[in-house]
Parts: sequence; C-alpha cells; structure tokens
Amino acid sequence: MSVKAYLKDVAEMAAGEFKSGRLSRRDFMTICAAAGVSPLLLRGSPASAAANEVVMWNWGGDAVACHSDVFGKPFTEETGVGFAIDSSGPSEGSIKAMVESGNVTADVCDGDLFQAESLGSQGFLEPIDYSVVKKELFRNPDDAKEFGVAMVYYGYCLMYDSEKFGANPPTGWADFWDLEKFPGKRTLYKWGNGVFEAAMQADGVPMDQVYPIDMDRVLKKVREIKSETVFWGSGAEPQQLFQNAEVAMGMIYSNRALLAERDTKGRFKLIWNGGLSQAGGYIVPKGNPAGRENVMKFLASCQVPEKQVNLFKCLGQAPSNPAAVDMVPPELKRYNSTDPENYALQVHADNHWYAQNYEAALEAYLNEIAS
Amino acid sequence: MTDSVQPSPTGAAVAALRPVRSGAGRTWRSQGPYWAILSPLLIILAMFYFAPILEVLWLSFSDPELGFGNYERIVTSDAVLRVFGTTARICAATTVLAVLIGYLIAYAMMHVGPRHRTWMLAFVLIPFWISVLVRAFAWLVLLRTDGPLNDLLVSLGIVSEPLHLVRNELGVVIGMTHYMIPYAVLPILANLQGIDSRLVLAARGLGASARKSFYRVYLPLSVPGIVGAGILVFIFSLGFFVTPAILGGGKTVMVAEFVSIQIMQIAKWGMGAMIAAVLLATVVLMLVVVGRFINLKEMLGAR
Repeated sequence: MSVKAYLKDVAEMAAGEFKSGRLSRRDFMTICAAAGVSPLLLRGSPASAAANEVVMWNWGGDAVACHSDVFGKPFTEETGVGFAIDSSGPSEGSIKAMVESGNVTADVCDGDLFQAESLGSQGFLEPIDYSVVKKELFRNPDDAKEFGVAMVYYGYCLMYDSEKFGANPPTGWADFWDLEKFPGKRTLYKWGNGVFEAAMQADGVPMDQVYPIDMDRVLKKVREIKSETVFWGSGAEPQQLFQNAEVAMGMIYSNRALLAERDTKGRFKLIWNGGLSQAGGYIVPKGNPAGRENVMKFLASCQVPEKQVNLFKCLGQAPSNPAAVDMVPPELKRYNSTDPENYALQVHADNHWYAQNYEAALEAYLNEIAS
Repeated sequence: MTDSVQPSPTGAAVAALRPVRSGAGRTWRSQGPYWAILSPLLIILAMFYFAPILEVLWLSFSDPELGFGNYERIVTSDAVLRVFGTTARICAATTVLAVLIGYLIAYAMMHVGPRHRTWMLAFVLIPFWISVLVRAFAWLVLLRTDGPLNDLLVSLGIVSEPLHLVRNELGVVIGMTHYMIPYAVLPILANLQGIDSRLVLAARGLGASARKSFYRVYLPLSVPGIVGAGILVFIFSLGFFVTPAILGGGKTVMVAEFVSIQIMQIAKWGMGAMIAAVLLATVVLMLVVVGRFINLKEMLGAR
C-alpha cells in the first residue's frame, strides 16, 4: 500500500468514526488535514456511504452497469437519493464480517433468499418494512421474508451439445449421469445449488420429492461422475466450456444460457427439465448507513415491473413480480426461469432447507469433489 | 587420481552451507539511537501486521469455542489431511520441476556470451512481470482439449485422443512450474556466477571426464543455489490460489483456496484461521530447520 493510500485509509476510518458519532467534526477535519486528504475526496469511497446514498453490494461484472442503469439511476431521479455499487461480492462470510466489525458500508446485498433466514435469525440483517415494500407484488408468499425479499430468480439448468446428441437428446439429470449412453465430459456448479437436486433426481427421486436432500446419496452420485466432471465456480466458466465444446453437457445459470446459445450458434441447447429455480434475495445488513427509510424505498422501487423486465434483458435474471413476468418479450420467454411454462418444469428450491443445511452440505460436497 | 579433486570442492560447498554468526559484538546501548529512529516503523508493523496475525491466531483457538477443537481436525478430518496432502504433493512436484528447469536455464546462461545472456535474462524476467491470472488463462487456452497443442499432437498422429493437460492436477503443476521458474533461475544463477570456473578446468586437467568433472566438482559447488531456489519455490508455492483455482478444474483444492472457502463460503473462521496458522508455522519451521544448514541471509539476498 502506498503512503497516499494508507493516509486515505486513515481518513476513511476517521470518516466512519465521524459518521457513527464517535468522532467530532473538528477532530475529523484535523485528521483529514494531517493526512493531507480533502474530506470531499472521501465521497464516493465505501466508508462515505452516508445517509444520502444507497450502496448496493453485488458480485461485479455486468451487474455493475445493469444495477446502476436499471435500479440506480431511476431511483436517484425519483428520490434524490444517490446510488453506488460495491462489487466485491457479498458472500455470507463477508456480510458477517462487515456487521460484526461495526463498520457497515453497504445498504443492500445481492444475496440468496435463504440467507434472509440464516443470517436474519443470527441478527445480521434489518427486517423488511412491509408498509413500504409491497407484499402483494411477489409471485410467491414465501418471496417476502421477514429479513429479505426475492427480487430476482436464478435458474440452474442443463445444456447439452446438440451436435453430439442431436438425434437422441438427453431429457434430464438421469441422462446427465449416464456416461455410457451420453459419453463426454460434464460440468457442474462448484457451490452446490442445483447439483444436490440434480443428483437426487438422477438417483431416482421424483422432482417434487427431492427435499430434504439426502447428502449421502448426493455424494455417492457425485463420486460416480466426478472424474469426468469439471466444477465451475463463476458464471463465465460454463459459457467458455460450451463455447470450446470442452464438455458435452453441463449445468449453467439460466441467465447465461441465452449467451451460451448465441456463442455456440445454437449448438448447445437449454433444457429446463429438473433444473433448480431459486430466489435471489435482496437483504439489508444490520445498521446500514443509508438508514432504514431510504433502503426500504429503494427495495420498493425495484418491484416496478418495467425495471424488473429491464434487468432481465440486461442480466437475464428472472423477475419476481408476476406483472413483469408477463411483460417479458415473447422471443425471450424461453430463457426466463420464472415463466410459467419453464417454472413448472423445475424444482422449486426449499429455502428453509438451504437456510438450515447449506453450509454443512456445501462443505461435504466440496470435500467430495476435492478428493 | 580423480578422487584427489573431491575434497576441495566439497569442502567449499560445506563452507558455504555453514551458518554464519555476526554482529554479536554490538550492544543495545550503542544501538539505542537507531532503534529510536526505527521505532515508528516498528510501531506501524506491530499495529498493522503483528496484531492482525495474533488476532488470526487467537481466532483459531476461540472460534467457534475456546480450545484446541480446530487443531484436532488436523488429525481427525479427512478433508484437512487431504488438502495438506494435495498441497504438499503439488508443491513438491513444482519445486523439483522448477529447480531442474531453472538449473538448466541458469547453466546455459553461464555458458553463452554476454549478449545472449542478456536476452535469456529478458526471457526469464518478462513472464515474471505478467499477471498470474493472465498466465493461468494462457495455459488454459494452449492446453485445453481442443487447444493448439492438442490439435497439433492429434494432427501429427502422436496421440489419437486429445490429452487432458488442464483442469486437473497436471494442469496446476504446469501452470505453477512456469510461474516459479524465474524464482529458481535467479538464485541459481547468482550461485553459479560465484563458482570459480578454473576448478572445473583443474579437474579436467587432472584427467576427469567432462561428465565426471560436472558431477563431482561443479554440481556440489552449486548445491547452495539449488537448495536456496528449492526453498524459495516451495514456500511461494504453498500459498498459490489463482493458478489451482483456474487450472485445477474445481477439483484441485490447495491450502489457500481451502482457507478462502472456510472464511468466505461456509463461514468457519476458526477453521480457516487454524489452517492459516499451520501454514505460517510450517513456513517458519522450514526456515529454521534449513537455516541450520544454510546461510539464509546470503541465499535470499539480504546481505
């Protein structure tokens, strides 16, 4: 770290102290002067997430531009409240660390809905104010949880090489596990969602009965194919694997499926059968800097159907508002995880199971693939 | 007759390997002003470096509950043992390969003209400055099943099926070895430059074959360089994160990624801290043990 960066860091810490009332304005100015940093320069840095700015904590990539354009700019125009993005990725560990350190710099995290239960019950999250956020605009009653809301849905679905299996394409996860009938490399999601459900189905469990997941059965099934399988951790990887036809079949985020089909000129085809539809959760870390009122207004603004459709067009994340689902252009409906036709073909994630079991299940799964 | 040349070079190698003690004569009192000048740095180090390390160490004993529970896992958990095993295996392979290739490069550099040597040094150093991420992806592109290398091998009929060279442990070792070669070349080169070339000439003059004079004179004299490069490469290799994550196909989990998973994904901070502490202790222990045989300060360029 350069001296300048260090001094700015000191000043940023001072800004945090100042905002939380532990440091007087005068002392804050003195520290800034001593560090040679103008207090104004500290605007826009994470610690300055002040009362008049909502900071969204997401995973970077295209989401930075999409969240800013679709949610951020209109929100600032409507309310006068600023909008900024921290793209460092709100993993569960990072959210806990932020809240425990007492230096909360984000207002809304682009997380998983089950975290509303797991992190919420441990006191890391602000409860949602349902006098501002509208419960009736969600497609499932379960989308509106005490400590978080489902604004978008993710699909974990199957794509296959139609050049290899065009005459007799696979129809689901049982075929995915059948290396004799459908030879070739596979790719699966390294962080487990969707794989647990897929393995249960491949082991003969009907789609609507996969919960509670039996991890012993899942691990046994994973062991069967892991030598032929590449495990991907970030969304671009399966896209690359399909583009180079390095694998014959694989799991992919449904929002990447459109791009993967386009990249491969239609060679890789998407099927929804037995995929997982799981709600992403917008959750608010306890003690968020912008205050409860601002962040609840922001969440309510994300419910507007037009915005959800725009986000779907930008990122491929499926809308949670039924009105938005209807507004998706017909040619894109095929890629929408929450479209009624596709939704009926998928497993519907049991977020309660995830809240209770995800950490232990993921640990066992990672240990299995690493051995 | 050839036996008569042996004692001298071996003796020189042993001398280089002997620890050196110095500076014992100065006292705290006479050094007082220097410590005062250094104190701001020491205070900053203590606050921003040692204190966080102690906090991590404390975490490994206190999370989720006070005690040695996390450390018990070293012997009771298959996952932990396996990660350490994988890491040790990959680092050992990387070290052997990087030092071997590094030695060949350094040896060649010693025996070409200064112009060629400059060029060779440039080719060693340029990849050194390229981001580890870029290099990992470059290997992925080159070595994947339908990449240029496999295309070539298949079209020449050398193999019938493309080889699986990446997205497995082999890919990790290739990527890491490539990354580590400059770290092996530089200490070896520094060591070879210190060898008196007349000793080899003397051995030849006394009737040793070219091969014998290399194995019995030159090689023993270059042992300090080899050992130093080996330590450097092994210790650096222990902390690799990006290369295994990209080239390992998601299945080759080394210590650094394991720590990251514990902290970021499954929020077992105590466990992650324990692994980090064990890694730190391993490195310190290795340096202490090796320091008994080798003058590390000289080896790592601190003198």
